[in-house]
Amino acid sequence: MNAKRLAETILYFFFPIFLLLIIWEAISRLEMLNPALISRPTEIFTALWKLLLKTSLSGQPILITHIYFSLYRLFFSFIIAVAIGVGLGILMGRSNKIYWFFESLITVAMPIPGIAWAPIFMIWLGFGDPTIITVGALAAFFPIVYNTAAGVRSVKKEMIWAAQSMGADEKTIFFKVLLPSSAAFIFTGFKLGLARGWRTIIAVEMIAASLWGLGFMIFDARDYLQPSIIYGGIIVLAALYFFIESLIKLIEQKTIEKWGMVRPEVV
Amino acid sequence: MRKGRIKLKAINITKIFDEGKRKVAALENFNLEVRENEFTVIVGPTGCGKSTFLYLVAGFEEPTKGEILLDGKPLTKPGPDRGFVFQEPNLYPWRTVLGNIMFGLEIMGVPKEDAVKKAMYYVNMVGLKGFENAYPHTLSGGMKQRVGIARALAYNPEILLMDEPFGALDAQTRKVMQQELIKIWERAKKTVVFVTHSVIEAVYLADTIVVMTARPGRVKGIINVNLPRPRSYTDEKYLSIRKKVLSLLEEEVTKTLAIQRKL
Amino acid sequence: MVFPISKIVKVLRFLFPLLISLAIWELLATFHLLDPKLVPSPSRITLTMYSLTVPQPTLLVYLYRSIYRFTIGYGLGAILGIGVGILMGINKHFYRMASPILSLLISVPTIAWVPLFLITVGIGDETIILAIFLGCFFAIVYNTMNGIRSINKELIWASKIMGAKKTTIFSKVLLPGASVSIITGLRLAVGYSWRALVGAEMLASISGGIGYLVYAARAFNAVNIMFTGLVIIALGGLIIDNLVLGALEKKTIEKWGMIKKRV
Repeated sequence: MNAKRLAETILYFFFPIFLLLIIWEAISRLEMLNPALISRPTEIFTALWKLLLKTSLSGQPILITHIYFSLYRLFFSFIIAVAIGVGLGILMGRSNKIYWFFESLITVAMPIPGIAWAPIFMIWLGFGDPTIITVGALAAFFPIVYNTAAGVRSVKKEMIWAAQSMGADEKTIFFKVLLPSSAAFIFTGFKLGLARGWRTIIAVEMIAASLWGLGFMIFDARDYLQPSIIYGGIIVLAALYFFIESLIKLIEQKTIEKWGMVRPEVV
Repeated sequence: MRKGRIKLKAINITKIFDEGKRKVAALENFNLEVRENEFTVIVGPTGCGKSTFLYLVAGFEEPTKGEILLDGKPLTKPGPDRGFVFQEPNLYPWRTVLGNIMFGLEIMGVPKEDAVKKAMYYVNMVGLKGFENAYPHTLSGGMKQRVGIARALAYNPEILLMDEPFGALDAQTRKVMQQELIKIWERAKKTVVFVTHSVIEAVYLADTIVVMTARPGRVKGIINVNLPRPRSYTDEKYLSIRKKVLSLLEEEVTKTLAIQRKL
Repeated sequence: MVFPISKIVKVLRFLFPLLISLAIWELLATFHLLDPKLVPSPSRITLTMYSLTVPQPTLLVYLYRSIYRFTIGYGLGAILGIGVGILMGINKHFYRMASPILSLLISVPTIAWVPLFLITVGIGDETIILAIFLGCFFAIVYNTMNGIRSINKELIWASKIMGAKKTTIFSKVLLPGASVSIITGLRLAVGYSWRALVGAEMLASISGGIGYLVYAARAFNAVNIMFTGLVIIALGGLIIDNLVLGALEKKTIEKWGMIKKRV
């Protein structure tokens, strides 16, 4: 029964996508689309397959290396954003003065798209990883700090009092009451931060990367008029993020959902 | 004893829900006659299918077998010959009190002036004068349910169906609403089918009480309540009827618990 | 209109930390603790802003260009997005076919499409407008669809029993019922589109725009212009969000009590 359900779900998901690809292929085979502008699905997958097999001059597999660079930048951006964002967020949650001071700064800076910072950081840090990772971290930082502060501030006083009356010290209260009760908020911050960081890194790679990264790959393909690589890159981006999102969902199910703490969310 | 003509007739109703692997029979060979202008209350243990029956009458669901006749004509789809009051008031939050009550008239194409006049009559009847331009979110639970009742009456349906309308209210408000409902019913002269699991409520409101069996729901017994209104919750006759209904129900509640334990 | 004292205090409380930060920044620059080639002082940024507006209104022309592109891209995205979202919300078959494709496309960063448009459409307004359109389109589709699909079934039933036809249910129940979600989507999408605009103008503009200003300043290492651009970008996003969509929210779903008032 369960296996049947799963198969059905997968079928319902992939059938429309296959159908779309087949129609797209058919239309371009009938020469209704300009092949210099819109690639056929078969061309796109061939191009991707070639990128997967081909190696660069220095012997690295091309597609894998592009993916690797984007992911490792995302990883470091995210780690930095979490370290600073959660730290400051907790301080803001615990002290009204700190909250008041940083709230307006964050409100003003948060809506600035990550990519807008890129030219400035390029002047400060030059081309390559330092700029890409810093701008990625900056973009991911805001949702994390914002949600962490909101989470800590939402912890009910009674829950802290209950722990205090049982004789808990500050450290115990922090680790055993504050963190778990704001976990759902912090997790939301992580999700939003990861998504923002990812988009920003792809964008910044287009202007600040010199050799590797999916953003660079896509932007570079434009110069050589290779739409099939751009389409391929878009597919890889969608698939990668889909994978990351499923991973997050799994972690969410195993942790905060089990505690019954998931907030209703909007996209 | 009032002996009106038969308004609503359910003949051999069976309703089976298909829940994947399991098939659950909510109602089995359920038969019922409701007389015109009578207040009929259906009581039964949790999950006996009493709300399901109301949904079938409303046309929200279709019976697996059997037939429901209103004035001798079979019912299939939802339609304005019936009024429905839900457990949650389910008001439209973007419409004012008056806007909600007018909605049925608006759908029928009644000219706006007439519709307002008619709706205002019901605003007054349920005691919400002065609140006609308020939005639902500003009202208390009891007031919202008054709007729900007025909305169901305003387009003058043949029969009023009420699905535990006071279940979500606090005990005090519930009592006030029960008293008010009887007053409204006496003025509006409507046939009412009212579903509840509260025996206190049933004996206070009903002309006829229909006690249902545990799942699958069937009619266990019918009790006529010949007490003058307004009734008292502490009157001796009231209490003796309450006892009668309770003793009928008790067996069924025990059965329900046994079923639940097995699941 | 008179502003109450509490409102003024609130604004001051909000501005004070910003002013302190700017003052510290200015002091650091005055004492040569910041390299002016890397970090311009607030006073220099203000001066740049002045010189870019008053002698020749370059900044305003650029801003106008961006807003023009934004209006077309976002307007198209909102109209088509709500349209497609409604179709997905009311038609099961269309939903089944389109939702897997939507869930894939929604996770592609908008900026990734820009190089493709540069090849197919070419450098200039069309590419930027397309990027703005895609930036908001999927989020609006998703939220509109979700809003319609998650309407309480009983709200629809309540109108059906009053005799409402499909068109009435659609215009008087489904659309207003989905309004919270639709407006939320429109608001989120403003941010997405604004972000897409800045990114696309960096990669695809040859004639003005606020993103272009920031990017072009790189050629002269003009950090003061870059910071000026950042200020304008931040203000632009805030203004569109608060003035346009905030007002819409207040007139509709806030009045109906479907969302809490923003503090």
